[in-house]
Amino acid sequence: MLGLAAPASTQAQTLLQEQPQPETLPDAPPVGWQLAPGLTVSGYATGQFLAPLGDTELPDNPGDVNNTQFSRRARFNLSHLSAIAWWEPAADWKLLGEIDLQNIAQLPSGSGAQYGAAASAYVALERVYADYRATDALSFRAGKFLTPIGHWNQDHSDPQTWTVLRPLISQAAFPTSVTGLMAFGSLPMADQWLDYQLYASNGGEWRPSPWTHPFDSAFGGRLSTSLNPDFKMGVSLSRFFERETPGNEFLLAGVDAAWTLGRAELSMEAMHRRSPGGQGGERGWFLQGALPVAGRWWLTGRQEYYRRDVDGWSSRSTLIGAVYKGVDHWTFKIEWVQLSARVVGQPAGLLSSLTLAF
Amino acid sequence: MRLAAALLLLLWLSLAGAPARAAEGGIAVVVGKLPGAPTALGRAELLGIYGRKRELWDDRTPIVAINLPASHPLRRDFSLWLFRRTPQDLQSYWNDQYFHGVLPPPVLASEEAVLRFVAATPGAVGYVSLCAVDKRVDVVAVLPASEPAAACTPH
Repeated sequence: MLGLAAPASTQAQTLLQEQPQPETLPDAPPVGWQLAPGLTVSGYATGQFLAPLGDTELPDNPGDVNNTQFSRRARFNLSHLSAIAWWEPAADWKLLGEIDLQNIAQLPSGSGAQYGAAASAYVALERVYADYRATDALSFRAGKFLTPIGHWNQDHSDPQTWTVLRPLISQAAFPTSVTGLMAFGSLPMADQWLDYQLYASNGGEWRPSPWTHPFDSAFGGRLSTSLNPDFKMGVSLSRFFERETPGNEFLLAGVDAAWTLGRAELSMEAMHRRSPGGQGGERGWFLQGALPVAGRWWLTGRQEYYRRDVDGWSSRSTLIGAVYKGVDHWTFKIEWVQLSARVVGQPAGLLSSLTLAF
Repeated sequence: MRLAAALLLLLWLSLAGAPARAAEGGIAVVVGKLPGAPTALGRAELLGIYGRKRELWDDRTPIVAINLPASHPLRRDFSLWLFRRTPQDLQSYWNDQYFHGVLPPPVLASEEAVLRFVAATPGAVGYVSLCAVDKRVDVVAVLPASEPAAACTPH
């Protein structure tokens, strides 16, 4: 038997090339480019058109709150050009990296905002890590990876989501990436498989995003199911400190679930971040649905609630939209978002996007 | 009395014949005749293998799971038995996996191609019509197929 063998798909790929008929699954994910044995490059690009309504998007400078440049100007934004590459030199090793060019071009240009869709161009290091699979039940990851809290944060790329706007609780209550170590794996449980992730970090975030607060230290875990197409759920727990407030401990608990009935999907996430010191408690939830209506069209809707404990500030948002999933891996989304309170970086009004995965 | 005996005989014949018919029209999950190859696989194990959760055999040989094309009737039956979903209905699962660097199992165009590949590749596992199985491979699981036995024409 092989010790260090070519990755699973590489051997079959050789035989595949001899066959006259490739994979014919119409909705299969894109396959990227196989640049070399075990080396795959893929990604996606997204263009957004935003027509914000009202004063719901705050600029950085409080004096600009009433400046219509920040709150009411319709704009086009080439918001993401993401490149993902992974290399599997052997069946038990994987190296993966993702770079995301954000806000590459905007019309009209130069809004001056530092947060959200109106921010200036930025090269984000989304992920870069090495995985070693000791067994199927135990793998190790070292590097920068997406924080395993909730479902959305780890599967947030535009081709994977139903909406242009990301829920607040999937990004506001915790740093969205970790630089550190993770142990993870999958275990058979009854008729299903249970995934677990345990991670730890002592800070040292690699290329931290300018609009998030990176971890100063963190450890946590997540249990989830992913292989049951009817019902998926996850539980996330984390204890962490943020770099901006190093003495302030946060304890976070979250639960997420998704039900699928035919091509319809209902999903939810709920999270509570507590701070024993009394500062920084936050909680929220969202409930989201996607209902097929005709052909490749879906109707989407989401209700979200977010609340800060310290001052009772809260925001409620309602989203109604539609999604068209085209052939050849492109997706069009259009939605109307109503926010009850201003949130930095969260536009309201008419939002739409066109995404192409490759 | 004779009617009851005849009915009992008919019932016995139908029960005795049922497994044979199901097996003849079934789907065989096959591995190569190679050292260390598994001798039996259950649904949970196959779910892990074809969902790319399980990628190593017990001796750390890489698992190479092979699919037939999505339009192939055996692929549809296998997917419905394993995932309770058609191949098309697994789109969101594979989309999520894709962005974590996990691709769906590769596809070979015919049952004969699967047999050839599985027989020659350590760690490979595939599925074909039970009537297509020959001495090149070992059967590690048999599951029912929707196609009747009479229509068993490997392709």
